[in-house]
Amino acid sequence: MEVTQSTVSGAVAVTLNVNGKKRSLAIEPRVTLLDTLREHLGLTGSKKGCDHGQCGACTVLVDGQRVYSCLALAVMQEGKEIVTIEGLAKDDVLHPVQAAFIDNDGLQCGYCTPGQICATVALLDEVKQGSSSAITPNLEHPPQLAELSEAEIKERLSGNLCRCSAYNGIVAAVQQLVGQTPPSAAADVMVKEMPA
Amino acid sequence: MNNFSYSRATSVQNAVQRASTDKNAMFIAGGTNLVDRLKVFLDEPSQLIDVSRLEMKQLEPLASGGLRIGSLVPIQP
Repeated sequence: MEVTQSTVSGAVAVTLNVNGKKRSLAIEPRVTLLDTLREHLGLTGSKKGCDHGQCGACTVLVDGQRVYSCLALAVMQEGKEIVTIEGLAKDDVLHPVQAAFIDNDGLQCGYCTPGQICATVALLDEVKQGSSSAITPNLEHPPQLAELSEAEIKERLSGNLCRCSAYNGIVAAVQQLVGQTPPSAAADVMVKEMPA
Repeated sequence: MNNFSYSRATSVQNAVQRASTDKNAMFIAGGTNLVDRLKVFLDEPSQLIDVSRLEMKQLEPLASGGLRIGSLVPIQP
């Protein structure tokens, strides 16, 4: 493998594969993948919430795995396949995860949504590959998609925060995606008459 | 964060050799911890040596009955 050595002051040449396109850039080694996407490539779908790997709004896919792009250096991602929220839909056809979030009100303000959706895409893939989570009772038998419990979904999306607290809709979206019937999103808000 | 130079190590020996000639060098594998620390100036390396592509991802059963876990083995397989 070729060794790349940069000098402290300058930018280095980096070629990234983003949403199927090769993008050649000159950036300093300290520039994060998130800042590269937003500031250098004009892909502002990935959001900067905390910039410290705590909120998950910057989640993107790198070689199919979910990554906090605010804690990943762009220079390290050469040769890897990066997919952002902008790369999920095919022309005018939404990715199934995007459609499920809309169907189930999996968002309110939408700021965390690109990260939530990228994380969900990876989550489904992880379950298909037999990954267990921190709450999987039996590591020998990780859950299949159809039997993924609400607790498993919440645990597996715990790296993505939502300040609007659209969590019920997000869980419902995942349930729909794995072929389960999510509970009705219609909340019972009628005020019952109090007994006299 | 301060800027730093970046290099991708070609082998474990290469990584060690690079680090031994620069006491302010640090290794980086993923960055989840280190980049966070760089942002608040807890670490200020002169260079980062990328070891993420080195072959240290093996789980090796040992003859003595133990298990040697490579330092790049991820939490999720």
